[in-house]
Amino acid sequence: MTGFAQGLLDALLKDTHLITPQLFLMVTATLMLWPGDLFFHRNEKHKWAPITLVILAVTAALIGRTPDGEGFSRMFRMDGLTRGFQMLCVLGTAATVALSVKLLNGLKQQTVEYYALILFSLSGMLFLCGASDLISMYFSLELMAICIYILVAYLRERSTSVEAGVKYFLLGAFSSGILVYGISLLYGAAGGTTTNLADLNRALALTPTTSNLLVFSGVLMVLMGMAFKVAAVPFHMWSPDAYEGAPTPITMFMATAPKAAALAAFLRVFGAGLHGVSSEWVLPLCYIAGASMILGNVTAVKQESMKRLLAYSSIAHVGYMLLGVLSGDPRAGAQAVWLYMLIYIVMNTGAFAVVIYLQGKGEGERIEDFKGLGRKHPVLAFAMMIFLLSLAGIPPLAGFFGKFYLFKLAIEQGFVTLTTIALLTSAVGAYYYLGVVAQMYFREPDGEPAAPMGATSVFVVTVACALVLVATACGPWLVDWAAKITWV
Amino acid sequence: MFITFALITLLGALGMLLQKNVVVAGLCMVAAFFGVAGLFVLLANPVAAALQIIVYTGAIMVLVLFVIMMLNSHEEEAGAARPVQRWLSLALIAVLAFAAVKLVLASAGLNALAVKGAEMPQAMTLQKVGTTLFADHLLGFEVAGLVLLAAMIGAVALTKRNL
Repeated sequence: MTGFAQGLLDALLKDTHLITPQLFLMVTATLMLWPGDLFFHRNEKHKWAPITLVILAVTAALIGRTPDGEGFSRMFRMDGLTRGFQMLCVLGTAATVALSVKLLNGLKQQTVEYYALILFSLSGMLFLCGASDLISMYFSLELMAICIYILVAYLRERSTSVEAGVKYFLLGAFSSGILVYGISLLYGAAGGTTTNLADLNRALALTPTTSNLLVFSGVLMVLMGMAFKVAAVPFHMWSPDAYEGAPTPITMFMATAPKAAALAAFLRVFGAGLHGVSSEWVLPLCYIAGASMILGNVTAVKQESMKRLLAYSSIAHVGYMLLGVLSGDPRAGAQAVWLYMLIYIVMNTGAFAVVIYLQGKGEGERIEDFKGLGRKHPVLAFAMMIFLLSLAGIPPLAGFFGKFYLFKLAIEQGFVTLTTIALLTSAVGAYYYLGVVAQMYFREPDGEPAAPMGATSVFVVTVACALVLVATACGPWLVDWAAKITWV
Repeated sequence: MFITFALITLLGALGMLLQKNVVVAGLCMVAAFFGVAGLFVLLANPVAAALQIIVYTGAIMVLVLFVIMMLNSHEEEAGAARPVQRWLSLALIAVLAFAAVKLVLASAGLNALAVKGAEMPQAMTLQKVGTTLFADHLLGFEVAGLVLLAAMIGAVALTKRNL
């Protein structure tokens, strides 16, 4: 029996170098809760934000240093795809933490649990990016999601926040059930021997035609469960409510980091993993992508709340990114999605930073609150205009670059109808983004004095704005970076 | 023996559906769980039977009873659902059950069983479960532990009066 235990320990230590970033995150987050929290007085909790940022910087460095490889009985794999998307998750998380400080200070809701839960969620995302087995994928997804359910309901005195949290939690629990059911069907269809994606793909491609129905329902259920996590139509119902009710930094968090991680899983499971049974999932995924683009953009037009508008716009953006998952060339698809996600995170961060700033003064929730911003805060309004135009994909801003790269790939792969829908709905998207710009520049302000903005927010807005402005000029470098998103 | 356990399961499930009092319905569910555990024993799978009792009758049932107690709805429900919904759900169940039975009857495994005759399945032993859990699925197991930790922190963060 000692031999068995020794073997276990060896197996555990052999592969630990693959997950050093996650281990580091888990250990520090636990230490932050205890004994770390004892060192700070009740009024000093805001000091956890800079500490969290330092932890995130170290995590990013660790991700860069982690070698390629596969381990834990082929449950986790570190490669270009994993590393690239892990970096995106860290980026989105860092932006969230930087923007949380001022809002939480204003609400007197600073706690160590907030930051620890964000770090726990991040470690789930890092696992998810590299999960090469359906079992490890499911558990990482749950770790990521369960922290976000709690963060959505974090402002527990506000009924909207609690309502959003409960809605998200209940629907998320059901979708997880569907996902696990799908996984079990695939496991059974492949002969009940493996859940590893590569093995599963091989086994499923050989299944007799009689179990086609089993494979199809399994693939469809996994697809549904994952589409829920990225909020693609028709599994998007939770997202506008959850986005609106959550504390705004968490809204931004949901729109960026978990989406990057879930898309990485999407790419790994469908793009790279189950391409042997692609006939089962390409058509449903086409419908999901097309419906996301249409419904996301069209519904966004009528929204009056800025957060709901951004929620619907994020549904539409997910629809675009699913084009990359559909790509018959998974590597090129992954690169295009990565590039799009990077640019999307930067411009979304900027837009949310402006919303959070306005919210600090008790507005920013409604699109009307933006009227006359061009008169009151010329610089801020300019930055917001850049972000919105970039989200709309107007050249020469970065958003256009990402869209161009993605749509070009989709056309090359023969998804002409879908790309046409994407282009048409982008035009619809430009309409509502420009509507906000028009509010800022062509409407008279109410005449309120301007409030100071806080150093971190100024920094975030400036950096994001600069990046969006110059990113297109750096196109070749961006493409070089994206070329590293590859695997053996 | 099979008939006995199958009857216990079926009657338990039916009792749960038809019973108006939620607590009695919950106890009927326990009976159904025990019936399923008996079926597992007949399949020469005592580990699965033990897990069925520990996990379902132990953990899940307690959870269900907690919810019942918290909602505090001992009184019988008044007013039935709309008849249309009832018929629709019945039709849906019939279709699903028919499809499931047909799927099982059409499956390749069953045909092979009819030709070759049943062979004794390999028993699932505790040791095998442990090895799979700690060797093959180590990562999933560890992450599951983290999920529980995060859930615990979240429960505290959401309910404690003064953080």
